[in-house]
Amino acid sequence: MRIKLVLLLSLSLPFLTLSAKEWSVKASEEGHSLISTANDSVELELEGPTLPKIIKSKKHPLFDIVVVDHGEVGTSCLVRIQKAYVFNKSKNKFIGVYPYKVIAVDSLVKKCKVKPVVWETYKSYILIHDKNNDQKFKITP
Amino acid sequence: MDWSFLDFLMEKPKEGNNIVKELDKVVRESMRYILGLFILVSFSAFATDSSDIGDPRESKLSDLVIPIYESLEIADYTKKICDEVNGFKRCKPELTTLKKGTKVRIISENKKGVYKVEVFSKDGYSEGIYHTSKKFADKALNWSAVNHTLSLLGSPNGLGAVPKINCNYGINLVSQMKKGPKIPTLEIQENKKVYSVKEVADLMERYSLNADGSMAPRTSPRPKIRPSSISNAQTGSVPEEDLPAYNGEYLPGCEALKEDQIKEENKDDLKDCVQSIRKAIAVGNARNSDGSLNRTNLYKNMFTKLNPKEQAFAGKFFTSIGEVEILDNKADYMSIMKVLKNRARFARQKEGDTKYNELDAALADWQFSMYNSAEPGWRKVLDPGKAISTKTLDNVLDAMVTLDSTDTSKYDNVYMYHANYVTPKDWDWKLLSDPFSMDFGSGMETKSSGGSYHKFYTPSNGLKGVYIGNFKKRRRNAD
Repeated sequence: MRIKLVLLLSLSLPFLTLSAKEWSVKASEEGHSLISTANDSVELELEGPTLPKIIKSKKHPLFDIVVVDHGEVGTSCLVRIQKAYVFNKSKNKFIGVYPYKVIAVDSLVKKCKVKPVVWETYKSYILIHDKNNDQKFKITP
Repeated sequence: MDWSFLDFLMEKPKEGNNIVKELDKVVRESMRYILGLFILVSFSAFATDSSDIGDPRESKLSDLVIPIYESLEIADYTKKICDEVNGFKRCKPELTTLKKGTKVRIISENKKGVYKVEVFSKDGYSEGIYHTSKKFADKALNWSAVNHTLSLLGSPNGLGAVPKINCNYGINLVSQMKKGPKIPTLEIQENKKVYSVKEVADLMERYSLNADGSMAPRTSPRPKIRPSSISNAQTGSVPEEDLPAYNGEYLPGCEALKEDQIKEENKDDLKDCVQSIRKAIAVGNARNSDGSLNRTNLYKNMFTKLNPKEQAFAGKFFTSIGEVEILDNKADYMSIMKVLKNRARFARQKEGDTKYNELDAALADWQFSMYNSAEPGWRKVLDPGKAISTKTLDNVLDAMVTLDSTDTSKYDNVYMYHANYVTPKDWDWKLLSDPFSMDFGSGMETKSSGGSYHKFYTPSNGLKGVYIGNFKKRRRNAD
């Protein structure tokens, strides 16, 4: 019985650790930041007049990836911006903010043309290619 | 007379004819095979292509936004999970399960029974393009409701009349999803009639603007931008040689920028400055092998080839032309420059970085739409081979001089605007003032052009600043 309990506990430990990291957006006098129980807070820059909103956190063995919706921006061609905030999982350290998705917003007159932001997620690194702005990134721990 | 000795002659042609016939037969057979192969290849290429559905009934299907009543698994081919085995890459798309309440629009279907779908959140916002199998969609969508809706659309009272189809099924037309929430509207009065945003956009199509600001019916379609064939247009050729990086000197004509304030007498020099800047940035690696402009390197050159004063001038000058487009109105140019100045000032204060200028604000990703890769605006204004009319040059420089000599402090807090023909769906209107036009006095009002082209906003409670862009990275790359 005791062995079973230990086994059950050891099996559920990784899940408990994962679920312990919760992310939220905090508003303050200085602006908005992404906070978690384990990491330092990271400033969320406003793209437009929409408060940033967490969409999801993605699973990866080495990185904590939090996808944030920054809302619609643009003057004559509206696009919705989603960015990924990437942290080093073991060091609880912020690595950087990267483009995740750009969605064209329909308007009465026209729909903007956007290209996909392609993510290739490998076990030890992530490659990102934002074809809209010709930017390439390689995220390593 | 016995003519049999000539039989061989008779046979020869016969034999020859047979050969011709055989050859003809072979050629015909080959042609048939080639034609068959061509049709097969064309058909398979067509069938595998995710083009829009051609069938009239099915094309109506792509007009519908359908709710999911069971979960639906979708694949995102832009987010791949990859493995590397012995140097070979293997990737599969990321899978997501959509929950009940989410809506989808079926854009197309390929030969393998894969649907290309646009996903809408419960709030009606597009979540992007994904793929799913027809098998999954069959289970997840209420097809009897879809078919009923399609039959309504096909009826005389359906599409084309007033579509009353969003009854019990929760199915919407795409056009209904595009409308978005109701936002505060800027009232524009002409003959005491109040126009909606859509009507203003339509008005712009049907009427042209006179010099005095009055409107006259258009005799020709509205041009996207002022035609380049205007007389006295200032054009230039692209020099072959690459110019050296900025060394502290001013480009020809740009010396006037040494002064803090641009004056009337500097306008002629600054016309030369505009062309000098365009020539300086559009050289070397800013040209692709086919002669077209390379956007990434062109923008980089704006920081490496220009000194800070020229950068700020270029940011204001080119952005105001590209954003104002055909209006060619002094107050509208001034309003765009004012927003750029405000954003640059905000960033300098926030970051404590004195280098941040109007060009950094203008080129921040996605903010000023004319600089987006797919938009034509940046090419039109930055390419030295494209004409900018003398009238536009005069108007923009005049706007710059006037802005520098006018007290515009009442608009110091204006950071945002959008064209009247776009409708932001998810902006938090509580964070913004009501939309307004800018009035710089002496009849210089953005609204005076006969229909406000842009709606301006100031931030209200809770909005902490504006986006200042990844300028540090851009500058780092440029150094």
